[in-house]
Amino acid sequence: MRISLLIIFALFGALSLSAFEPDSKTYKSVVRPFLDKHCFSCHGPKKKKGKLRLDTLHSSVIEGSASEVWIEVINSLSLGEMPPEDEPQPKVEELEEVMGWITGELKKARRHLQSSGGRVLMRRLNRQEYTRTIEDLFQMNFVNGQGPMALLSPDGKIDGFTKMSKALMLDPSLMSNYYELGKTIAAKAIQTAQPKIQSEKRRFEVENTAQSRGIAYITKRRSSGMMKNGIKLYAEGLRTAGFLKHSATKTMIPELGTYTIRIKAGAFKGERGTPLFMKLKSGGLGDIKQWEVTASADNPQIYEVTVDIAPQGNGELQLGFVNGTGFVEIERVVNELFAAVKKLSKEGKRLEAERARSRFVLEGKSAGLAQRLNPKTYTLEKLPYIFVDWIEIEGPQKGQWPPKSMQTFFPSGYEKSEKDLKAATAILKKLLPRAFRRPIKPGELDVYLGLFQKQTTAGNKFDEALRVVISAVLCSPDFLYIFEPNETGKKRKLTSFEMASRMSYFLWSSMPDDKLFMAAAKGKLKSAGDLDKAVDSLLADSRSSRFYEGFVNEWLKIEEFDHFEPDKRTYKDYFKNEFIGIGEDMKKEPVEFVRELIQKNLSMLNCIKSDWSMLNEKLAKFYGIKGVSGSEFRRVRIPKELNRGGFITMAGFHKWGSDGNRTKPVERGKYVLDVLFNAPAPPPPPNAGEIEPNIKGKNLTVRDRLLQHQQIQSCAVCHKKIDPYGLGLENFNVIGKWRDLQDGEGFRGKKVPKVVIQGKFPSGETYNNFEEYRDVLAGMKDRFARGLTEKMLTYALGRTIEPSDLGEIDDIVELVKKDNYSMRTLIKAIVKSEAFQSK
Amino acid sequence: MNLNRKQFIQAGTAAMSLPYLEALGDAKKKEIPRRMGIFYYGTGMNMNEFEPAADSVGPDFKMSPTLNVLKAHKKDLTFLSGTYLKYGGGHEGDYTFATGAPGKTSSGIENTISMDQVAANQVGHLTRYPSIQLGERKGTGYGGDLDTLSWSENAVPLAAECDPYVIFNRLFKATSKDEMASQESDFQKQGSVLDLVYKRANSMKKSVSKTDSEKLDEYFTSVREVEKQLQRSIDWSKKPKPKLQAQDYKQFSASYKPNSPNFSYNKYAKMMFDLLALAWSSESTRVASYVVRRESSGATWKDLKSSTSFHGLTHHGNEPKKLAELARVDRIYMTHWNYFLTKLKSIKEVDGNSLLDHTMLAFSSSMGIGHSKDRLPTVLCGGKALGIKHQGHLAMKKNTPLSRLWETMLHGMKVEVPETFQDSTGKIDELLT
Repeated sequence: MRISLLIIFALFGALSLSAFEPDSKTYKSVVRPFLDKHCFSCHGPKKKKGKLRLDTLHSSVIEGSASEVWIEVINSLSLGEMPPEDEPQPKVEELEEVMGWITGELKKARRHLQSSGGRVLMRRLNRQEYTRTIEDLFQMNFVNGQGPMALLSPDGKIDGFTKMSKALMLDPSLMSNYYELGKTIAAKAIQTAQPKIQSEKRRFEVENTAQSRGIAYITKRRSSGMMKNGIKLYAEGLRTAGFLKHSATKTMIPELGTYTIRIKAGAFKGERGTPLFMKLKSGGLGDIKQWEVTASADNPQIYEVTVDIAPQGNGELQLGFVNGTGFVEIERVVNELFAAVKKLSKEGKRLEAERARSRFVLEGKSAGLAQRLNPKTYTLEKLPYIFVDWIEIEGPQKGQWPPKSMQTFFPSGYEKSEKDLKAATAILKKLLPRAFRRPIKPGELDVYLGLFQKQTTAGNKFDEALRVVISAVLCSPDFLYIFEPNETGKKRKLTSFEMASRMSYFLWSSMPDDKLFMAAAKGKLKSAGDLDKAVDSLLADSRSSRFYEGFVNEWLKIEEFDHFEPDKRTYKDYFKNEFIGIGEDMKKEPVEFVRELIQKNLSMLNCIKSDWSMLNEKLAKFYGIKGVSGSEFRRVRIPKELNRGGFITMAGFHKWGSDGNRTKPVERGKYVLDVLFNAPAPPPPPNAGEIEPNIKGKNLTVRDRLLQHQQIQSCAVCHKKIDPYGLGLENFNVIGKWRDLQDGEGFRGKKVPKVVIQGKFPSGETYNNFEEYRDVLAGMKDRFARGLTEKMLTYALGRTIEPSDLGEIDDIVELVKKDNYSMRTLIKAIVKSEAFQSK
Repeated sequence: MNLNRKQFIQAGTAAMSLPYLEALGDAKKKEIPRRMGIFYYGTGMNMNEFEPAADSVGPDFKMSPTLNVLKAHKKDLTFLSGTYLKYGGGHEGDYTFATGAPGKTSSGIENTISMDQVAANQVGHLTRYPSIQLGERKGTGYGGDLDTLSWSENAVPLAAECDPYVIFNRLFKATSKDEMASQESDFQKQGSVLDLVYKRANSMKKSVSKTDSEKLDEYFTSVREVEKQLQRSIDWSKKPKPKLQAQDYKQFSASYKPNSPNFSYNKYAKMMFDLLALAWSSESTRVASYVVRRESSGATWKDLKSSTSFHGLTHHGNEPKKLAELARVDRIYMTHWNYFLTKLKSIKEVDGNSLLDHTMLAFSSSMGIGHSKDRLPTVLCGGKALGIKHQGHLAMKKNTPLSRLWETMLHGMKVEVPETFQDSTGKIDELLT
């Protein structure tokens, strides 16, 4: 069979690295007797029901196609399909043992398949690393929608991380993209003439609205009060028409680039007194940003946003008053016209009706008015309004001229520099060791110079030949791969330069900087003290943000927080104006949290329970904490009664563990097991399906329905191990708000049941409320430290953890524990580990 | 270093290589090209409203409410009930969909060549592009929900593109005079760069550890493939890109993909299908795969007016309201499919038949309903001029491998099928004349 062949092929390579050791002791003492008792009579030498024979099934799950059969066995057991109903049923404990063995063996087999023999493998840079390396190598930046992040596809993952050699494959289309990117980057690095389009600041003074025919109607609306220096908006909004044209193209957005848009505005809250919001949109771009206008109308402030916009975003800017007064201007004449038009159309007099309609225009009225009279509109004094003075746009940002790369390659200026082989040699001597992250080898320079000469001989100019060489550098395996030679295959210690790269790709997702290169050149990356110092210095650099964004995002599955959108009707809070964009803030909270832990050298145990979090105004308000203002994240102390602090209380996670309508305790439990303890639950059997919905009248909570499910013995085997980790979180609803009563899923009215928190962990501890639940988790200190160590080590090494790593992991955990579970100590311990330092 | 490879590259700039063009000329003379596409709608459908009644079979079967969206094409389609994916069910069905291999299991990812690549490997050399891969997101999605259906011989997933503008440019953007002038020099530059990096990789070979050599091989294979594509570009460079109508250029004049501002899925779906019609009718490629709806995603687009994501809808828990909405969204997707079929039917081939008659299209999913691995929404359309005999509702035995349909299509492509093909038990004779 083709498939088993495949598996054997896959194993063939791996077998030579580490032998697969099946747990045959348990097989003999537990599994085989079980099979003998319950299975062999139908799937044995006499009968082979379903062409399945289990007595000859290999106890080593990696043999031939044995794994497939074992998967079938565990599925039938966990679905309760086997043994058949009319046969004697196994006891739960028996099932537990047998299923535990199968799951364990399959997991072991998986590790074995992905095994790298406990060695760090050669791997290509992932998309993030490629981009950051280019940025650092040439000191260049890319606009959103341009450059590597836009052109390269997202990378594959193993164990949730995009750093894994085995998932970072190279297909032809990617190679072809690397070439195209190489060309683009070379052109950006070697610029000999200043770009034609330069940045320009253009401002639209709103009082000029009447000057443009297209938008002059705004001045006549009753909802807009034109002033000498601006406009008062009571509702609707304003537009910039053709006022923001760039001189080069006579359009607003001459090219893809970074633009800053500023609005000078203030607000009068009126009788209503609630916060007022304005939203900036563009015809081609859609929504750009929404602000709460906190400045007062007599002291307007500047509201600013910087965005990358492509020419498709051309058109105009539109500024809307989000929650203006819903009034419309109805006058008698309008009412009469409406009635006339309606009557004529009803009578079928289309032409006359059209004529009557055209009178709207003559009267200076819009024909799209509703026939509703709002008495409040007769006096505007008490109504809230937003005052807008002007709107301006500045860009595209051009950075300095000449670009930094040109300054590096031609320190005395391009015009004055020689343009010959010698000059090319000097440039390559600067570029190659940085691009390859190591000193260049004999002959290596000549290879690239050879290409340069070939290009000039073919008639290409100096700058063009240089670009071709740069694109070759960027396509070469030395650049694209983190490559550590190892002829003999024997484990060896890394060179200082290799060590520098491992560290910088771990903590910066990029190449080392000159300081780190220098340390490597001087042999200063050897002793424990050296390495500690280097880690501190890497973490102090702003580039360490990439570690938080890279590791924390993938560790905590933050990209998946948006998997399900909360139901708009049930969870209105989430969609309130004041919380617009809160989904993004929810994704930032855990990242900022970990940043704080590391930067302030705090204990990792805060991840499970802490009395503070990293919040901004919006998120604090959402959690019910007052006194936080501004969009930037900062450490906020949390009142005890709010039950916040630590990952398992963060709204983003609860949103992840919900399907938009109801909470998913099983998923939440799986998350806790996998993310916090690195002990992922076994996958569900196929066709496992979903728990039944809340049927009207019965009013069963998710918890009730889940407990029903646990009544089935074969289900209970796994669910008993998962559900307690999720059911303790039922106080957090779909959007992560605290609830004491059930919500969502049609729970309404007086009969809404209370949220019940009660459970027993597999280890025996029980809980009767969220606090107790959290305290039990918080007590699992070493388990958490171990889980985190394994996750971070996986990220740092770019390979899965193997049995041979277990000893070293023990040591790291011990070290971390001694240092008060310091997260920074964990990073240092990983860098100092043998696995990290050797090839 | 590989001598053939070197000759190959050197031949590149010198002249157009004859065999390709001859092959092309022959194809024109002899037969209208045979084309095929496979399409993936992740996370299943509401099969209660998709499957026709079990006893209503044959060409005159009673269309189900969802299939009824395609009523204009009843004679050009067959719904195959009873299909299943041996390794499907749950959200990993995208891995095994076109390969029949275990795909993604608890013991890792093991895959093999996908059925479209079996065809592309044999007919791909006849067109400018051997095959194209489309998806809702670009890339492969390896490790997570997949963005592509196509896997190479070495089981490397082939990245898909999601922006019709990007593909349109690749296929149809005419080479300007300036570009034409620099084209030869561009080819020469690319050839030199590829040559150099190939040599660099070769020099690594000596010092690479045994375990790393697999990675280096991937690099070699990719460079070689890009070289082949370069050669192809050189061969085709003198031949102008297919000329299209002004409206086509206009439709694809700017980037448009999910998450573009003011994105409309209805518009996007039409663009993607229009693009495929153009790609086939212009003979730019013959083989296509398209992840129309990524696993666990979809339906979140504003203009589909769905109360939640498609994945959310599939977690209907048998709630009638949700099931109804799921079916409603299924039918929206089917209106796009209907548009596609109509479009292909409107394009005439020289023999008087339509492009649809000369193209086999099949769609299905990773699952049926309720995350099951059977009851798949499997439909074959078109291909009448390629020997496909439509059966309306063809009731297959329970648990008929989807690969049997793939084998049938490969047969329709007149390409060689490996003796043991996936988990197929043979082509479906009822579908062939």
